This record gives sequence, structure tokens and C-alpha cells, in this order.
Amino acid sequence: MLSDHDEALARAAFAPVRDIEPDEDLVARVVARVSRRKKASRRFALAPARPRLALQALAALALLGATLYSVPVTRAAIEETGESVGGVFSGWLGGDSAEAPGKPLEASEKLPEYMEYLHNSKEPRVIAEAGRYKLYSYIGSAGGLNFELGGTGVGMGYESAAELGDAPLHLLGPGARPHADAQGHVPVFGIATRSVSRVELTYESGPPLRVSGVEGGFVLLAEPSRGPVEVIALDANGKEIGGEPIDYPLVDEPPEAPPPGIEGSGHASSGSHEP
Amino acid sequence: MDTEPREIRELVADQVRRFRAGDGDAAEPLARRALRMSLRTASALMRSREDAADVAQEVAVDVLGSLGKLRDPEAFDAWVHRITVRHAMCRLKKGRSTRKVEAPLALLDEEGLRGAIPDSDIDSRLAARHALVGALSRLPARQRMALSLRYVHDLPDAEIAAALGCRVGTVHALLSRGRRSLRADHQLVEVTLDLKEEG
Repeated sequence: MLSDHDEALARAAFAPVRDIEPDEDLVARVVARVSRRKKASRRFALAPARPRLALQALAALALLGATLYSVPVTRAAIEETGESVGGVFSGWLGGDSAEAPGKPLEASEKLPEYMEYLHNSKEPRVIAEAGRYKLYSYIGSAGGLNFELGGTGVGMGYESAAELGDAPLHLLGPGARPHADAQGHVPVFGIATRSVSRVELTYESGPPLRVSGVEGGFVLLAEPSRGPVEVIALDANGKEIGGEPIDYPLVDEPPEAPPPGIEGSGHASSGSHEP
Repeated sequence: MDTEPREIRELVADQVRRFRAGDGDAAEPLARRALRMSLRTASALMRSREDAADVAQEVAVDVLGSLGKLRDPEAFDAWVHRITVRHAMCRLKKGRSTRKVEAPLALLDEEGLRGAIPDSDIDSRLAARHALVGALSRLPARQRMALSLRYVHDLPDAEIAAALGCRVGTVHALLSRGRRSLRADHQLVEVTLDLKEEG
């Protein structure tokens, strides 16, 4: 039962943020970004359409990649017995390249252009990938540890490996702007300790999505329509050693009782995404 | 509870129509409105003013970039809340600030008021805002969102449910549990009482 006191307390508690106004710089930045985006989308619209076949091939790769692939860490990193997720990266951050997780870029492999431009990235490595998504880790120009899901603009930075916490598994994203592939799969990605050899994404219904051979990072192509519940970390014996819930929407799905005039923008996932 | 005057909604709807039709002058007022709404929500949720401003900026850009999906231009505000929830939830659950040095959220806006109102009033507001963010940070993300939409924007349960994408009954439960937790936060209760007494 709601008491007047509770209501008054909540109202008073929120009072200090009810009159905040954006500053003019912020408004100007948004207007400029929107303007640039409109121009860019016009340019995009003028470009020749990609063949549908290419999209289908990408989707097929995504399905295959999600179930089969995660990039192995170096042998030196595997032998390191640090059990915190931050420990996976601490040696590398400390200057020991042999401790770096994942693999360096191939000679012919280039970072997404925006990463080069934005971050002046140093020692970029691929720590996991699925489908068209690659999870990069790199040391920033100021020395911090950074992660970027290539091609999506979703990234995050940490000043030290300790900030990653000491759980066996840490979800980094989907981030503030979930991206979906052609089939509506949203990449759920993160990092894990060396004791985690498999991760599973459980759903409200149907079988989980499993990725074996996890050694440092993972990218899971989630099906939002099946209601992702949790990412579970398992060791080599199949024992559950950690996990993180996914208790927020992966896509902007239409609400059950939308206010008049709003159309949903969720992605429908067709077909199954079996392990 | 939503007391937005009809004239304002019609004005905003007209701006939406003009924006869609390519009128560049409509971008600024719509951006300002989206920013104001999302910044207030985010300011109740994020630990730093930079994070709150980042969320608000992303929301405003997304809102203006997705106005084509809005069937009824008068539903602009609901659209902003919906996108704010999506961005803020992701940020709360997954986002980590890339900045080590951050200005405390409590300082937002208030520095400009120095000299205009008594310092003691400003200090009370800073303390209250700091206590609010601290208390909210201990609540589950969806409770925080529900409380913010109710007590920052005065949204009724149905509109909160629409923004969160859940049932109205769920909103009742989220608000109830959230208020109970706020009541149990002694620091928040203390500074809020101070604020009320001074007011």
C-alpha cells in the first residue's frame, strides 16, 4: 500500500533533477550529428544495392560462426592461472605482449576505419568473433584497455584490468546501441577467465546457444525473439562457474500496450539458431 | 498525471511533421526537447554528468533519426521515453564510463546558480542529488527506470509500461519496491527532509 509519506519522499528525492536543462553546446552537437546522418543516409541511398545473396551468405556465416568460433589466447596466456577476468588482460596491459589474449590482426586485416581514426589504437587484437562481428581489444593511446565490437561503433574503455572485476565472466555488450544482423540476431559479447571453456546463452524457450573453446572472449549471436535470459560460464568439466543475466531488452521491441501512434522497431528472427 | 498542455503537443507534432518534410529549422527545437527529457531521466540514473549527457545525446540523435517510425507525431514524447529507456538500460547494465575523471552529477547546473541563490540552498540540492543517485544505484535497473519516469516526468503507469515494454502490473510492483527501498535509505531520507524543510 502506498503511503503519502513514501510518495512525498520519492517526489522530493527526484526534485533536484526535474528542472535540468541541456546546455547549448549539447543541443548544437545533436543538431549537427543529425544533419550529418541525414546527409550520409542520402549518400547511402544513392549507392548500388548489395546483392541479396551477399546478405544471405553473411547470415549463414553468422550462424556458423556463433556456434563454432572463439579465438584462442596465446599459450603464455593460457598458462597464466589468474582467475579474475581482469587477470586475463593484466599482463598485456603491464607491457608483456606475450600475455596478450586473442590474436593479432592478420597482415591483410585492417581495423574498421573509424577505430583507427577515433582511438589511435595500439596493439589491436581480435579476442573473439562470430559472423561478421569481431571483438577487438586494444591498448589506448593513454594506456587504458579498450574493447570494440568492430563495425558497430560499440566500444568501452577501462583504465586498468582491475576495473573488469573478479567474476569469471563479464558481459561487455550489446551496449547502448544494439546491432542486429540480417536475420535479427544481436551480438552479445564479453570476456571470460581462462577457466571458462564454454559459455551458454539461455532463452525463455528452446535450447541454449552454446559456444565452446572460449578462451578469453566470446561473441554470441542472440535471438531477441526467444527471450534471452542469461549467459552462463562453464569450465572444462561442464560445471557452471558463473553467469550474468540479460534482464534488459536486446532490441527495441514493441511494448505490450503501446501509446497511440507508435510503431515497434524490433527485429523479427526467422528460423532457429541451434547450437 | 501527464500534464503536458494540448497546445504544446500540437506544436511538437507540427515540428515533427516539418522535420520529416525536410525543414531543417525543426531539428533544433525537437533536439532540445528530446535532450531535456532524456537528460532529466539520465541524470537521475547515471553517476556522472558526462554519462548523463552522453546518454541524452545518443537518445536525441536516435529519436530524430527514427521519426519515420512514429505514426502519430503527437506521440513524440512517448517515443523519447522509449528510446531513453533502451539507451539508459544498456548503459546501466553494460556501459562503463571511459573516463576516470568525472564531474560529479551533483554539480550539474548548480555552479551557474552561485550568487543567484543562497549557497546553503545550492548545497542542499547538491546533497539531495548526490543522495538520490547513490540510493538509486543500489536498486535494480528497471526499478530505477520506473521511479525516474514517474517522479521526473510524472508519467502514469500505462505510459511507464509502454516505455519499459512491460505490463502495467509490473510497473506497480517496480514502483512499490522502489519506493520501499528509497524509504529505507537513511541518507536520502535525511537530506530530502532537509530540502523539504528549507523549501
